Amino acid sequence: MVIILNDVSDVPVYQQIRNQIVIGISDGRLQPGEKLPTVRALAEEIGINSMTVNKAYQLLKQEGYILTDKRNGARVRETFEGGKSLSGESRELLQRIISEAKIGGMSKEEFIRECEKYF
Amino acid sequence: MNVMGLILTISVYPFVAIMFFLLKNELAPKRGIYCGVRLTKENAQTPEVERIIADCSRSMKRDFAVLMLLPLPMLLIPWFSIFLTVWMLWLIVGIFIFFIPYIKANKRLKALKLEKGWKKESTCRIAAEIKSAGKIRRVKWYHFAPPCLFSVVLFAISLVNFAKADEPVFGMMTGTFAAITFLFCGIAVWMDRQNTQVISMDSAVNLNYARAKKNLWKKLWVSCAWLNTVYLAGILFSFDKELRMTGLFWWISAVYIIVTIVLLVWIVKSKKRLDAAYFADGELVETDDDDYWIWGLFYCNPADGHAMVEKRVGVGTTMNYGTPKGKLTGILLGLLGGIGILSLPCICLWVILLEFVPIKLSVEDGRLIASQIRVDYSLPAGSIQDITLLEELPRLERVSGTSMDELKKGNYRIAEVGRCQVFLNPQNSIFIRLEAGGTVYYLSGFDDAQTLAVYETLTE
Repeated sequence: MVIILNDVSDVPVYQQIRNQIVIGISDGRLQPGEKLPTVRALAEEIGINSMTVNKAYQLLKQEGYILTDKRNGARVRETFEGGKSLSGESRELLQRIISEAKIGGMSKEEFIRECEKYF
Repeated sequence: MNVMGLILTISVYPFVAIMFFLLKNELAPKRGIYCGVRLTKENAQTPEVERIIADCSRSMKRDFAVLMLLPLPMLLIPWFSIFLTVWMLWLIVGIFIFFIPYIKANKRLKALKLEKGWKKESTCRIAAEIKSAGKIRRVKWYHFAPPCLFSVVLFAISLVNFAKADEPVFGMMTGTFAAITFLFCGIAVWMDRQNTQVISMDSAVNLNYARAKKNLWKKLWVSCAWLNTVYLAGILFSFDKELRMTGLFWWISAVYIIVTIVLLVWIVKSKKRLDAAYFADGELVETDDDDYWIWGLFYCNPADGHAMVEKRVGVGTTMNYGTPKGKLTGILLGLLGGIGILSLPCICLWVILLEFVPIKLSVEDGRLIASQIRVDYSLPAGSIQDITLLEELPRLERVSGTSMDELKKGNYRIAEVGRCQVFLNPQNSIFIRLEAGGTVYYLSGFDDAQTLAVYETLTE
């Protein structure tokens, strides 16, 4: 799975890694139970500090996307906890995106079609 | 032209041809890169781009033709030092001259790309393949263990012989070649640990390309390590019991150089084939990092944490001079290169002085003085024993020092006699042989009259 980081983005690098891994899990490029590279190996591969990768993994673990243990390293969870609803933060983000689309002149149908591409 | 001149000509003349073909080869599109600038296939087929590349090719061909013809009148130069100086100048020009049209073409293409609006927004995007992180390793310890072990054994054998024959040059030579085997091993491991280049959004393509590329490099370095080990064994066989070099040494050295060139051609061709297979449709991941490539040759991107990246010109990897490691390496390489380039004129000047400053043999204040540029030998007259005047020199083999048509000086060896110190003009017809402090000396003045005058003073 390829991750592309933008170094001049306002989004911190650890957050970009977290976001791309979440996208990878959702679109199936990362399978449930699949082993993730070690913090050091991934840091070397991307060419960034190990602390940044560690921070991304900690966040993913905290949010329930991955499991980590000392012996097996990090892996994608087999099942994901949580109900079929968005978190408060995600709702807020979605609302912002919808508002921007509305102001930009996008119709509801067009917006839903756009969402279907990514869902 | 003497034998030294012939050896110099044969070893230096092909160099410019190699440089020309290597850089000419870079004019062909490689992974969607044209003269160090990333272009799409459609853009590359426009007449403007084709004209820039054709101009570059024409300039290179013209420079090549001039450089190949220039040495012909140089062959008529009778003085070795001048001959050497002119060859060295020719070589320095040959190293850099083909880069000039290449850099010009790179600048013109970058300007054209900007003018035509082909340039994509230059963002600091770093792509990484996470499925391969730390996984693709092709070099195993057992690939390099046998050549390294053999090299150590051969070096140990040479040390035993060196201890017997008191020949430091031989020990240094075998030690250097044994160390080179280990160096190849180190380079192989280091290249094997390079990150996976992202050429596609499909992980399987990235992983297969990385595996194939690392396999190629592994094969090259393992072959180099074995070649070096075999050459080391050849060196041991090409010296006789008294550690004198036989003709076999030159033959195995020639084979070593030829096989090295064959390996280089093989890696260039294999890498080109591999790239052609994977990059048939140009670069598969759209990135525009031209701004970080200075003249298409040097990569400088402080935002990219990778210290090593794939080269745009040539085969292999290059440093990212934007990282601290890259900056340090750049400074070291610049210093080494600068010293190397500056040392060539200094060496040439020294050889010119050796050839044109006459040697002088004299007796002053009760000492025998042999001088040229500086005092080479200063022997108290009282310590000199067994002085004889020779009309013919024995066969002298140089161990270290200078050997020219009109000058021999330094540490020499005479078969079945042993080591001696030499300071003479071999074109003279009389020479002095003497012993002082347990060392044998063969000396002469600038001419026979000077030699005879010193001999008479010493025998009186």
